[in-house]
Amino acid sequence: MAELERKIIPIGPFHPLQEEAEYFKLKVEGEKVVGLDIQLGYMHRGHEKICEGKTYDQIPFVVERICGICSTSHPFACVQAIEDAAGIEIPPRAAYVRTIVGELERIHSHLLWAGLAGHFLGYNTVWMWAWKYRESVLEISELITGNRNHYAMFKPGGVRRDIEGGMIPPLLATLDELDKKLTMLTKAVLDDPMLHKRLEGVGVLTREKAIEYSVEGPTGRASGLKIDVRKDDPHAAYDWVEWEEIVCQEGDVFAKTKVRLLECLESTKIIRQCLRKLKDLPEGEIDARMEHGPDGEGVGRYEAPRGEVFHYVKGDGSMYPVRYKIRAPSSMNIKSNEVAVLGGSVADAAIILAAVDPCYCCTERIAAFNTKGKFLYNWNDLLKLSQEKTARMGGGS
Amino acid sequence: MNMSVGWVFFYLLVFPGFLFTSVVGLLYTWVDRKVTARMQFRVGPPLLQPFYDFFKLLGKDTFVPEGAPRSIFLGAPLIGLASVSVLSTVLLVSNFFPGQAFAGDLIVVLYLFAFVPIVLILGASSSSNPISALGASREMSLYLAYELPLLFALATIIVKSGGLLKIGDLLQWQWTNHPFLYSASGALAFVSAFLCMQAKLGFVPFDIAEAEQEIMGGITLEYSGPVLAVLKLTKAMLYFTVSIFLTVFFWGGFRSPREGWYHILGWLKPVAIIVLIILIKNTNPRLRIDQALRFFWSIVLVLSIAGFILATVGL
Amino acid sequence: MLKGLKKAALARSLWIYHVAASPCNNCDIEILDLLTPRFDVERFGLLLAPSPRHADLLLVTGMVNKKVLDRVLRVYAQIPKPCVVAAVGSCAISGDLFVDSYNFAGPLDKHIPVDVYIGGCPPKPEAMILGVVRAIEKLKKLKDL
Repeated sequence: MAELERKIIPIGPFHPLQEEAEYFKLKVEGEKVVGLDIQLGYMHRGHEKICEGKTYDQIPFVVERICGICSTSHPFACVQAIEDAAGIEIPPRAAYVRTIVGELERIHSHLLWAGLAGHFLGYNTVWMWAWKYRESVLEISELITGNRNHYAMFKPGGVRRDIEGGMIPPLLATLDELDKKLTMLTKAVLDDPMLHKRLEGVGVLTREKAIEYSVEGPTGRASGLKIDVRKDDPHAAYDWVEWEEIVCQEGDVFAKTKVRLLECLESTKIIRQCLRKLKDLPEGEIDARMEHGPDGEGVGRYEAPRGEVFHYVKGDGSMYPVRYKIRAPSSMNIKSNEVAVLGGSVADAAIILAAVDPCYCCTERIAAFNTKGKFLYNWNDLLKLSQEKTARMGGGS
Repeated sequence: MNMSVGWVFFYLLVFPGFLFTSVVGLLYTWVDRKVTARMQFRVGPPLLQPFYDFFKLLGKDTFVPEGAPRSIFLGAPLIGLASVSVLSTVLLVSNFFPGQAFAGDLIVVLYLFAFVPIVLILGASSSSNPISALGASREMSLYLAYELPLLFALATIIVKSGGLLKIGDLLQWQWTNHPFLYSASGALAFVSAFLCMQAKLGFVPFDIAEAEQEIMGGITLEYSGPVLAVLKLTKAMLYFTVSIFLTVFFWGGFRSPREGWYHILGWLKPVAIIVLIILIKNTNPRLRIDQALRFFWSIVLVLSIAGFILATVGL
Repeated sequence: MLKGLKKAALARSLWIYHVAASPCNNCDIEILDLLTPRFDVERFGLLLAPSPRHADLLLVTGMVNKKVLDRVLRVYAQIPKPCVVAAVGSCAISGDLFVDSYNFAGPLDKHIPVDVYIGGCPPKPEAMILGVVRAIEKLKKLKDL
């Protein structure tokens, strides 16, 4: 049998568990996990710096490429930050279209997660099933935006393409069908006794720990935190439609699954209402013109499928931002793995690490190179650098 | 026992041994992949796919990881292949040529069945990779857990038949009376043996030792090229052998002295067993090692002991 | 004859290992999409391999950054030859909009030999299947296998 000495099981940088490169060091005694060391940085691409060299019209394209799965969330928060800084109001048509695209993305992202979670549990039938249904969501996206992912729908002041009246009835019909499929999948997954056995009580993140690690999105809502930017800070059309926040108290992997699957159904509800209201609206403007670059600061928040995305922009009146800052939800959520995996087995660790729906390419905003075992910058160095830069830029917060 | 040496080699290498078993075994893996694909709304691979995979692997490079003893790392899979060949020969010879069996072949079968996981454990632990080693330790714990119920299941049918230890005699008993499966004790023994075989094959929900997403294929992780081909072939042959094992011991063998349609239907028995295994594989998530151990040490063990007790009172 | 058999077998059974070299994930999920019911590349014998040691086809996505470069080279070294390398997506081919990034280590073909280029942001699954077909054609033309 396994000897009880402390060993390190590496997960990554390339591991079938994660689609992306990252490095977890699981410290184990036999099969029991006693520690976790998270090493990120394999996905850093320097988005914030690239954004500073692009015009406001180009930035949504750049931030769209932060992450392929939340490729609406980042532009959503980005355009809101720019509009906030420039003080632009968007026309209601644009607000509805934005909401529809955002919610479509949420469904496809949650289905993607559900499928991958099944795959990680060796339950490939669930994977294939969820992804089969996900295809129909991508089809709707392709119909509306012209692409399966990376929609390029958003621009500061509005959207680039309209959803015309003739498209709406077939879309509603497809949505009804999708609703039926989603209900079936949700029922099948939530009623599977083996999945109950495998997921219940696994990787519990208590409410206290959830607050301590300030987790966001479904990860927080599964631990009993009622946080959702769509409700707490309504924007776009979220205030004009009826929908519910899904909150579970258990905090285990099963609760996270439940929250995500039920949220898919809420999303179809939102899309359906938006489409109906869009039909009643007169045809008209879908964007407000932005005459010159904003002078000042602005923030944008959006509830991505993984949690709150936060974008900050500071402009000086030119068409280029002075500073662009991005914070993605996974940077909070991944850290919470440190407590969630403790005491579980290696087999559980695999699904727990995946349960927060980590997105490393969203997260990695900083690269501190560790060449020859020496840190180039530590936290205080970085803080100092940042303060010096702020001083050079002449004040500001 | 007056077989010539030539016949022994023919049995071992061509029919029903190595060549026959490997071809049928590879076809079985096709059945597996095809049924799996159909269950997942997919089309699935073409009939000859397992053969393409096998020949492709033969043509690739082989790496031996740094720090691994070459002889054990490369030798273990070959020993595994050899033992499966002998295993299938012993099982099938009694079925095709009942007169050619030898006394105590049941014990040999049990030994050889135990040999395969041990060889895998040996190869994996020699590869000096922590993940492979974890896979090996899981395989070991699982093996210890399912071996006892399997022994009880076999003891059940031995008691039921009145102490027969030759596979040929056991088959004869089933042909003259009825397959063990059709009695209460035999059915219990079959169910527990079936679950043990699911674990022996390393299929979901018991594919804990080679969990692809947790420990990257565990015991096969470090193998590549021809040696991986040998491992895959061993797995495929084991696949076939397991279905034959269950058919021969519990379902009256797939070849019976009765003629006609019954004969062809008999050949479908192992396939039916395999399809059942595939169905279970595709409708369950992987268990944790502690859950699997608890399952075997409690439920399956109790089932098999209950079967044994029923057999002693003659049910 | 044996060589021909090996070659024919290799063309019909490419096992994929996929390396995410700092991509945006989109190419990666489209690669996974290939295996699911709509596209089902297992029809052509393509499978996802759990370890680079089992792989024949290396799919690299993303702009290769300086930290991940070393790992990509190591994975490439671990793949038993003969193998095919495909650069998937505009980032792996040229760097796309990340050419200006301070963390960009250069296009993929600067570091390892690339056989097939699959363009797009992200390439559609159909385009990826076409890319694999091109890879197979290229394999068949190889003399020393």
